[in-house]
Amino acid sequence: MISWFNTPPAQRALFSVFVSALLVLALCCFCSLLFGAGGLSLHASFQTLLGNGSADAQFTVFHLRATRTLVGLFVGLTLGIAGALMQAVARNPLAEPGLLGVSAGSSLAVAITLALGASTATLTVGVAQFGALLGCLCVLGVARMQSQQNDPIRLVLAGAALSSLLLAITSLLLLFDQRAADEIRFWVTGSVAGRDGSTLFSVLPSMLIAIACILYSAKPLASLALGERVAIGLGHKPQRIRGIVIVAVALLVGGATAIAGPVAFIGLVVPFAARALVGPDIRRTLWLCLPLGPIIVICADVISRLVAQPAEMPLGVLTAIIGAPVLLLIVRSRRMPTL
Amino acid sequence: MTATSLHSKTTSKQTLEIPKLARLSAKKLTLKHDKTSIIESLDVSLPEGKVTAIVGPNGCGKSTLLNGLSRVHSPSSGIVLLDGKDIHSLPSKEVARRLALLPQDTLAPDGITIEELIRFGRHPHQSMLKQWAMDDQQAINYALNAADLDGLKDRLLDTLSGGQRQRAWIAMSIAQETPLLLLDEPTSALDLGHQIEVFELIRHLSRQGKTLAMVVHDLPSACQYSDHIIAMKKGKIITQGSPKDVMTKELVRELYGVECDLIPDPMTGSPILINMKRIRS
Repeated sequence: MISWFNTPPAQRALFSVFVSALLVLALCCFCSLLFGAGGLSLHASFQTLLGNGSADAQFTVFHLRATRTLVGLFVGLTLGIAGALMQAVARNPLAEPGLLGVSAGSSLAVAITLALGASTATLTVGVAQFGALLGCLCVLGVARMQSQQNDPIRLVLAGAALSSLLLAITSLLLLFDQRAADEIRFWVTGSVAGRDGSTLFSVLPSMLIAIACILYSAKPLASLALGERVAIGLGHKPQRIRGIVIVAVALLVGGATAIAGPVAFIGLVVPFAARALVGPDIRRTLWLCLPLGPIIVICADVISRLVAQPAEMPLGVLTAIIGAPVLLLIVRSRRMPTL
Repeated sequence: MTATSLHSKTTSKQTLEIPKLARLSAKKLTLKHDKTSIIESLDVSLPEGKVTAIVGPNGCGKSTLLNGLSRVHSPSSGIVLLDGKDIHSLPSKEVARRLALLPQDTLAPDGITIEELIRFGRHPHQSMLKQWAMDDQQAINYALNAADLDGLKDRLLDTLSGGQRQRAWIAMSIAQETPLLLLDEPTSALDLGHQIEVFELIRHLSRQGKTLAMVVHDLPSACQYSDHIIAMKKGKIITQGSPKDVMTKELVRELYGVECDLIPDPMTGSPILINMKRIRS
């Protein structure tokens, strides 16, 4: 019988932090339904939630804002987890899908299919995920080339270069194709507003695959943090594990990008905060990323509605404002944390 | 679950039994880095229940041999046999239940505690369905005790002394409950006191019936803490045997280009090197 008092302190700490984070997340979701940039007052929003709203107000709260909250939930969940996984695979606290060109690869794949004649409505999530996979492989290929000495800064430089390259190609494509440009310009900024909630359903099957991949690989992935040879010594197969994790990352980032467009820095900030709260073990980090990702995205989204009223600031802008200082903080810290 | 099966389960796990001795050997083993062979057509086997020290100059292939024996490095030709079977044909998890490996320059993530590190040693005994069981906890307590880390299990690894840290890593491989343990330079980067601390733990494990092999740089320690010495140069085994038989002036000259005299340790009788001088060649 495993009782509360027998469980290791780290697990008890994780449990308390996890539950608190869930409560905070619930609060965030509530705020996300209440606050908005539109004409609906706080009081009216609250009344609507209680069931006394006008038809217009109900549409705003239960359709626009609820969809938006769900999308934020999904994007935070996937990008937070993807960031944590990527950092564990690259053994690099700066590995972040948005910075390393995974999102950019995903965007490019979408842009190409749009240019080839698809429309955003018929666009499959698979395309975005495939692009994300290619972006992942490119970046990790570069990371491998720099031999055993895994230099975090160099990985980020390589990622930034790849990202700019992919975005440049995307822009070039849009330049030639006006129709695709109109469709994609809105999408490429990265936002959870005005997204189609039904896309969420089309992503779900691939998310199940991602979850299976993560469940299978979490423990071996944790052992990779002790070094390649130790992991082999413990009976794991590092290459296979890395492959599975990269597939999971591609599915997650591709899914998020297909729905919300490229959103940077979430995959950096969320695992960073999770590690600060529950330590470096990837299994605990992943658990905490579950509530933490949505908290940060939904918070950022609520703030983005409030700071520039009546206009809205795109989410991608705000996450960059939060994320860039965190990036600098990690780089500036006296010793780069080892993963 | 019936009462009898419950009973048999609890009694069978009462004592921590180290499985029967496993035999590790290599036949015509060739190991290459890229295209250059480091070790060519080498035959070796580890004497059971003993401590084997692999010695030799830098770049002689000691660590490569250890990696080859522990299936980290795949052979270009030849075969590594674990209990008579090709180690690469056995499931990796199965190998990990018989053979533990402690590489050189281990690196743990920041903020990991000793117990968390040791828990990793249980991975080969776990599966998707069997995540954590009583025998895991028992093995961990046993490992903590054997490595003399009882009171330190919740301490962070990076707050420990070098010797304690190395003992924690060895404790991880103890928790793996393998009859074989291979260590790559377990005492490099440790000061004298911590070196002895680790060597004594290795001796202790050998007395418990484990077969150990370690790459060691320091000849006197190799003589004192091993039963069997394998001396290597340029990827070949020059000689092997008990320290007293193997260790001669000629061997030291051949391995390291060092002239010296050997005297027996007055307490243990193991050879000590004195009057060491580098010969210019």
